[in-house]
Amino acid sequence: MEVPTSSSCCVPRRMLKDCTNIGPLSGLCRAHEMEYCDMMEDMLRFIKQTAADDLWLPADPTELGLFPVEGSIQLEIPVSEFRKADVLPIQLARCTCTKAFRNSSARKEWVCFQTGGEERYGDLRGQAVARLLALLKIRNVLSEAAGVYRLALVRVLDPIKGGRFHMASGHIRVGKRSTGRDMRIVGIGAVIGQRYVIPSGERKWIVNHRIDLQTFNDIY
Amino acid sequence: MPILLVALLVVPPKFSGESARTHEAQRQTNADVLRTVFDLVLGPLQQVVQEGMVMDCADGKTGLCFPILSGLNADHAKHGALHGVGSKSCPKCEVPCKEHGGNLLKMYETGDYILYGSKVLRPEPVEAARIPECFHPLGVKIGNNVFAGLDRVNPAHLHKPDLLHNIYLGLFKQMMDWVEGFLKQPKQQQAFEDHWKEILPYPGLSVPKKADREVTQWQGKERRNLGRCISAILASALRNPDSSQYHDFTSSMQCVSVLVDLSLMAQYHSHTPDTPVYMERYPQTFHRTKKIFLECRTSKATRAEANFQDRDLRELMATQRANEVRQNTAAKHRPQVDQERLERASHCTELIRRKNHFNFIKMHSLSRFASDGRHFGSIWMYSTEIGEQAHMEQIKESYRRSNKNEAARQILSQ
Repeated sequence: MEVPTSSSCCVPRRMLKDCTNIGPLSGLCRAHEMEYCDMMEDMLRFIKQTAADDLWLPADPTELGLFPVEGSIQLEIPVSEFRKADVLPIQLARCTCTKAFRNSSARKEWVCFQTGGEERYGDLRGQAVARLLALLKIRNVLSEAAGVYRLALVRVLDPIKGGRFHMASGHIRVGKRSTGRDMRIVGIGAVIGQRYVIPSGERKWIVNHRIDLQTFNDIY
Repeated sequence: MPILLVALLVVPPKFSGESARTHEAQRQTNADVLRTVFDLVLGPLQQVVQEGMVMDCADGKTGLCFPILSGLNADHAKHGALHGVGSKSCPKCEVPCKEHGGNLLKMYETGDYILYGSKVLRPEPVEAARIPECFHPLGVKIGNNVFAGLDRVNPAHLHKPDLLHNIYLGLFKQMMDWVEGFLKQPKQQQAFEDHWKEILPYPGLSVPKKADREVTQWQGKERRNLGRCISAILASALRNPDSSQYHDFTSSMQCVSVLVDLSLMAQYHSHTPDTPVYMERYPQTFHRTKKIFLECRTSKATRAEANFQDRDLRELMATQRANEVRQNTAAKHRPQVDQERLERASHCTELIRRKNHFNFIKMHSLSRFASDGRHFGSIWMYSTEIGEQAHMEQIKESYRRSNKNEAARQILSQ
């Protein structure tokens, strides 16, 4: 049984593509050159947050570390075309970890996901901008009722000046967190779509909301 | 939108500079031939407009229909040729050339080609001598409008907004020149080019393979892509202004941003009551901030005049200095030379500021985007991109497939 990643059964779901079996969670950490304890900490936090809704994964690190994990390099996100409700083009958010992609550098693309109400993050309206660090599929083999979780490990950026538009440039700026953990695991259903960011100095980026009509209309 | 290839027209020779004046007769012949060809093409339509035609309707019924020519999708050069107006004149309204970049909210009288024609055919005795003077500021060439005789058609209303030539290939091209001129400091230039080269892939965005200065010919699609990124790249390149630069940087970013916003909103396939209001505000903001790029609008002629005046001034100052040099010491001489240099630079800047302007036809077209959005519902559907694409498929591809012997017949038969 698969965990639904979208509220409506009519809307196409987000999907992980090019999955490869990489063994337990420690294998994924090795492939992505990450600390296992950090990854486990993020997993446990994710389980804790989602426990109220449905407890499909155990909160015991030992059990969790034994579950088979599949890694993926791309996430298919159906996004709505601007003012065309019946057209849902697919965006491919890629995360190749350290591997080169099509004879160019490794890809870790930028996405946004809904973190709360629209009152958060100023003009971003509750959408957090984050970089994909890993895409994974984890299967709970201990319980028959449990299914497959499709997850994304992301590095979340914080909006600068409360996510309000910069007066001069008319852009929203985001930056790396100076305190606390910035890595987070989210279900792929929470990922809304890709975002286009341009580096703007040390640990800061500009969110380019003029990249397409839908984004221009959403963030305005 | 189906596009049918009806005829291939022979392109007449182009004239420029001196040859334009010497070949006036040939120019008139070209205009006459064009008019004859269009009479031939539009003749059957005229008959249908008068008598009507039974046609199948979308609801399955048949009705007596009167198909009326309602628009002409073409770039400004073709509009000029078919409406019989100069290259610097508006085929739609009576805006003088010197006011193209002026107040973008000011509305001008719509051109009345039928009235122009009647004025020439039946001139009042007092007006007869003044006809050339009357039409010269409007750039109208009397008798050259190929649509003037059509029933139920106002030639001025045939003009439609064109995103491809007006915004992407027109204003965005100008905007890039302004931005390049504005980024004088090597550090900012380098930052801009670095960001340009590092444009990341995104759905629907083709990543440029060359720096913007290295591209010799831009396609409309590439310019449209440029519009999606330019404001963010510029904002990143100008991110650390000092107090003296802050105002200039802010103005330049605002100016670029509103042009991009206008282009994006013009791409909307439908409009709400609010969006045309935004489209009115953007040109106003542009009008308020555009003077930051005034120095970048220097034409070759203005540059030559500035150099000429600078040379004259330098010689004059050198003569004056030669007369005074016997009385001055070397210590006094150096500050005087510096002072003269500053004066000359100030004089040159003043001349350039006085001569430069934003009076070009594509700037004037911006003022109509809001009203066109209200009237037509969508500006995007009138873009000549569709026609250019059809030209590629129907003519260029067909020509490649032909045996190159009497290719026109083979192109039309495919």
